[in-house]
Amino acid sequence: MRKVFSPTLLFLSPWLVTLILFWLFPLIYSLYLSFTDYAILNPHPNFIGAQNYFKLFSDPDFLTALKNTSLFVVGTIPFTTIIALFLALIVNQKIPLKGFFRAGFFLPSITSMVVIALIFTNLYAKDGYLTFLCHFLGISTPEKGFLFSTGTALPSIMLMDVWVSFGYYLILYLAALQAIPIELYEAAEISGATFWQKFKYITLPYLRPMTLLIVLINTIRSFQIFIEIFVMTKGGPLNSTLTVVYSVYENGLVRFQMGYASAMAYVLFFIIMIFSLLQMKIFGLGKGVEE
Amino acid sequence: MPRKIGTILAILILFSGCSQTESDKTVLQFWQFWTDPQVKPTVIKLIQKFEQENPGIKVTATDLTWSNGHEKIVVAFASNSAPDVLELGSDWVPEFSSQNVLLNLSPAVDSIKNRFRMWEPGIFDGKIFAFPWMLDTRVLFYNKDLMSQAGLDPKHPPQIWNELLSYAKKINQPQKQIYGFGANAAERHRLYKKFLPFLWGNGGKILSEDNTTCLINSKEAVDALNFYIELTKFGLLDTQRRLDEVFMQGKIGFVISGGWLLKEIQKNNLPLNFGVVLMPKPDKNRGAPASFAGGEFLVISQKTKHPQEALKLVRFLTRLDNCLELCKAIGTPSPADTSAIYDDYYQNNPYLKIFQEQLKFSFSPPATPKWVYIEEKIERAIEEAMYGRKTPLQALNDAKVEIDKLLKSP
Amino acid sequence: MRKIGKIALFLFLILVLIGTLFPLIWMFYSSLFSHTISLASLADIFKQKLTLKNYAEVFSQIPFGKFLFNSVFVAAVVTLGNLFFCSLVGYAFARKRFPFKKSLFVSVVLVLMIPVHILIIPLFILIKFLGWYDSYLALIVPWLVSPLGIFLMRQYIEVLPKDLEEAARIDGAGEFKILFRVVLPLCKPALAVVAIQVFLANWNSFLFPFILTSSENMRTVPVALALYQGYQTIDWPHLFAASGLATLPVLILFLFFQRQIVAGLTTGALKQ
Repeated sequence: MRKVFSPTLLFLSPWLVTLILFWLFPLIYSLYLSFTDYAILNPHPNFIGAQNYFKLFSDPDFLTALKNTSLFVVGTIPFTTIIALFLALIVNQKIPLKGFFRAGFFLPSITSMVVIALIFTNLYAKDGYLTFLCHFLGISTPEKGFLFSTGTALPSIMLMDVWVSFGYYLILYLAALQAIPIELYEAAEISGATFWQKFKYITLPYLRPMTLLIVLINTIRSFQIFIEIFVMTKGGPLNSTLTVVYSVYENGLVRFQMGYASAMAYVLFFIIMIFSLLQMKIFGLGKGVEE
Repeated sequence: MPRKIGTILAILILFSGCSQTESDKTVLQFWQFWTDPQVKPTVIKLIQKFEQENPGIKVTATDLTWSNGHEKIVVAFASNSAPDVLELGSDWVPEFSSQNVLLNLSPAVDSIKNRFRMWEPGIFDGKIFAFPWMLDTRVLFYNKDLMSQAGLDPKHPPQIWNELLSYAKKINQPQKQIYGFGANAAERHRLYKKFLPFLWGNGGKILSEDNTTCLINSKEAVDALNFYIELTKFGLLDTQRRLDEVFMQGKIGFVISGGWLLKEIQKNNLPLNFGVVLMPKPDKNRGAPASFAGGEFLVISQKTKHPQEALKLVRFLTRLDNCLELCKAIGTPSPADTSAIYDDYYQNNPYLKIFQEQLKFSFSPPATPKWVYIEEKIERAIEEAMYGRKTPLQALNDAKVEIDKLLKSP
Repeated sequence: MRKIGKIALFLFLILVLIGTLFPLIWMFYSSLFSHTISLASLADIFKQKLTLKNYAEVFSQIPFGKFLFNSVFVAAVVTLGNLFFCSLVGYAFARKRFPFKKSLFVSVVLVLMIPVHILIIPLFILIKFLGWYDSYLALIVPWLVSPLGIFLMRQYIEVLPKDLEEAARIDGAGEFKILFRVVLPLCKPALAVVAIQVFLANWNSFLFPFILTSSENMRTVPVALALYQGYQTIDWPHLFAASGLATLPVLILFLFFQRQIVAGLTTGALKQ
């Protein structure tokens, strides 16, 4: 009698082992810490119930971080996705040097994020190339420079983020576009469909799963934006670029308030979860592409 | 099925560290930040020299990055795996000293205390937890050519606040990308180091002697902030790194910077006609040419299994000859040993001589465990004044209220 | 498409490409400077003497070759491991029924969303306990089964028609055979995405390699790049040279596998 478990358990074991061995302990431990006043160097955390969580919602810095993070997510994902799709459609056409374009657009996403952030710190400087370009085009630039003016600091980082990431999603979209059966397009041509009709009724539906994937990955990543802030502005000026994960880092590793930081991280986690579940519902989780 | 899991777990456990070989030598873990290819060989050489002088001890050095070393240190202490000997920057020393994780060095150093300076950051509750190793400070760099071009005499760099302000005004021509004063923008953990010298120079204090009351809204402090904000209007506002770079391009008249800038200019052989001078005083007969004192300290983890050997390493590294060797490799810092100033290396170098002179007027923030919070509030106040959200007086008043609250809470 | 339209499109793409690559071109150009001038004005920038010595120095001043090897080795092992393990687990989620299936899948998705900074201390303690500190094991094992990989494989396999698998099962094929001979060949696009995603994430990973290792022997490229940021100064020419070199392995892999990926994808499409 073949045990019902056997092959399935074996198949699942890599995840079970990884989860139990590496993630369960850190997750449960940090969840526990969020209910304490753990201050890292002091080895005796006291249980304080949900105080950290209550404190969060009356903490103006956290609320600012939440606002900035949301702005960032909502302000980058649509652009990144649309630009990636738009350019993928073009690159997918019969143009010369396709591979060259693919590699070129992909290049920013394989370069170290820290280095890119440093490069952009220079480009955005008051005497940097972007300021020079703006003056050349007759656009006025912020008085204190892009990264030091409260109104432009976050948008500057958002722009950089779109620049860095669209290439990666472009490759993913290209992969998805390649998988669309050519026969469908040919049949549509014969029926006299226009470009827009082909796009709307063939391309888009086939791209739905990939779009969901891209938006999902990008959302999870964008909510956790950290490195750019750490390298470029450290949350300033006046907290205009403070994001939640940066605040978690600051509270936990700089101010040593790891209990509070853990609570903040779990609140963020909860928000990401809700957002992602919503997205999966809107785009349809696991639906096929039958037409 | 449980058997299979058991086997897997057993294999994993087998993989785990059973390969530690017994050694009859004491092994010390030493974490430090000097990984620059120009400096590291000296560190290695010193370690080898130490091992030769102490045949029973072996030292394993680990590199820390300036950008993220703090995280690594915190994680190590948090998980009870801190190194035996560790280098800490002066801004981090108070937060570790007060947490009962460092070894109390008082018994070992009380007799030699007077030979070294800048113990303050490492003192907590009357006990010493950190050994000052290398000190540095910040001075005023000035561009002689830009001064001449603006009709100023490069042989007389500004010595008082008004001179600095008016000279900066004269040099400042932003449309030509020439700037008078290089001011630090809202750069966390850096901004306060540029403002506090003016506060101290004007006679202001951050906290009262007993560290219980905040004095940051005193008249001296408000005047200092007013002056600083005024200064920022006649120059370039950017991060320290960029200010240094633009100064090296010959486009800034005056910038407050440290030894690292001197080293960069000399390393790159730049055709820059510059000089360094003490920080300006508020007025000819008032105040002091104060600056910010920074430095590297050596600390020993309280949980070390080899306190005696660790102490030996610390004494070795802070010994004048060894410390000097390292300082020379780095370029500009000074050993904390008070007799270092007499070494030819500093006496014969006009620039370094100024740095040594400036050290006499250099201060560090109060060594309270709450410093990281106080620093944030101070920087916030400066930012608010800089961005016109509050007047300097308002900003500092609000900061005082918040810091007082901080000081009273446990 | 009309000829003129095509040319216009092509030119447009070139423009966008230049705009996209400008920062990187600047980085590459700056890596040829003999000393640190990070933002020379446009007038000065062409006066600089150019040299390749920074690239040589990156290898001579620090064991950069070893760092590259470490990064490539770790990323490759993690990627291959993921391709294997995520297929297994994804298949189980897509095709099998078992108790607690929903909660277990939720656990996969949840791990993906936790901000890592709060996990580093407990994870560090764990790694130390296992004795894996400063070893390849710490760099590889916890990352061998990526939640995102599982998610991707599960999504892709779930919508595949089951008839081929059932036919194979009726013929008496074992579960492993079914997975590797029947299902996975149809999953090339998903496998490609998993490979790219996992490899890149691991290649650029900084925080955990930094915290979980300490010696030069175990250092990876991102950590090495961080070391070029000195105390108050940045060694731009070397940082840029090293950073450029760091993109080469990935670029080569990408260019090499581009053909395989495309071949695999179009085959998959035709089969449908």
